[in-house]
Amino acid sequence: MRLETCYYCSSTIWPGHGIQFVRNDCKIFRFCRSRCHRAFKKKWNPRKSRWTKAHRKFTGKDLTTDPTFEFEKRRNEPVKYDRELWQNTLQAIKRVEQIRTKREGHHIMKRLRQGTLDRKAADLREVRDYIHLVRAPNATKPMEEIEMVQKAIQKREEAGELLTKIGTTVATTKKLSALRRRAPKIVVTMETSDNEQMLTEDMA
Amino acid sequence: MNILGKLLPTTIDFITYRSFSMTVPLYHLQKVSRVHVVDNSKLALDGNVYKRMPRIIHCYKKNNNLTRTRLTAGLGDKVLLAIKGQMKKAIIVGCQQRIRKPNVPQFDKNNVVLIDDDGNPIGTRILAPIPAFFRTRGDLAKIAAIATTFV
Repeated sequence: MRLETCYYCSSTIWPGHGIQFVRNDCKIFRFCRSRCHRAFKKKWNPRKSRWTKAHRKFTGKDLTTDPTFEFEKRRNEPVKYDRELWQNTLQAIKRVEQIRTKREGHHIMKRLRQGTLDRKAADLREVRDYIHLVRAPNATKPMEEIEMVQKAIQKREEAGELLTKIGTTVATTKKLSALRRRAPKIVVTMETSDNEQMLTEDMA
Repeated sequence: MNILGKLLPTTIDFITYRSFSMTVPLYHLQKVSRVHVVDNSKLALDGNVYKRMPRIIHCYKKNNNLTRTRLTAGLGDKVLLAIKGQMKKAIIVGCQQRIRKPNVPQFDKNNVVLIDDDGNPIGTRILAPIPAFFRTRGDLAKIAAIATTFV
């Protein structure tokens, strides 16, 4: 019994499943299910189908080059049966799979973590660019308020930058703690406008 | 090849030098089925380029209920071909039909190997892959002997 991999989606084909197609140039295509078989017949490129492993590796979403993949290569040399060798290989397989899944997970997490940083930066940019939509409706000196908020954001960014700098000395940590103490909180107060106050008075 | 076979019965210019009507596919091989010879014998090489593709004229199949079903042939069956105006026996070596047996693949084209009346293959080599069960069946051993790759 041999577990093959599907040509299209790279999943394992268990015995009793799938279709095997042989081309006249002796190339064998194995498909795990009719979805993959039909995609192949439609001549779709597996690298473009987003759900296939080929696409994920092609676009760098999954781990591609890693020494742990070298263990699973096909070696066309026959090996004389040795019980010791078999047992060691089994243990090695378990360990290699452990390491491989860990590394694959790490690769994905690294990618996703970058996403959270990007989103944070985007949020800050959004606040900076659109703060004028958020100011209180009855603000007397709106520009002053915007400037205050922007200064607060700047101070926050500075604190953030300092935090990301590697190798903090005693001086910088003091600065950091000072910044943290001094950074004002951005408080947006919603005051009811005159119109709204009049309405509520009318209602009451 | 599979996609073309699923088209409706109309005359289609398949290759520029050859046009024939393609009927709705019945997935077995039977009389008038067009077939691709995978030998390296002279007759095979000529027959593949001849004005008419080699076709099956007769299927030698035992225990066939002729009143009910058409005379059909599958993997490993002996058939009579018409190649280049001659009649020649052959054995079916690859089917486009999806055979629902384990480890039996479906092939690109309906492959066929020419044999003489004794069952000895005429050519010296088979160029296409051959299903693995040819090795175990006694009457197909001669073809398995000259095969290059097995599937």
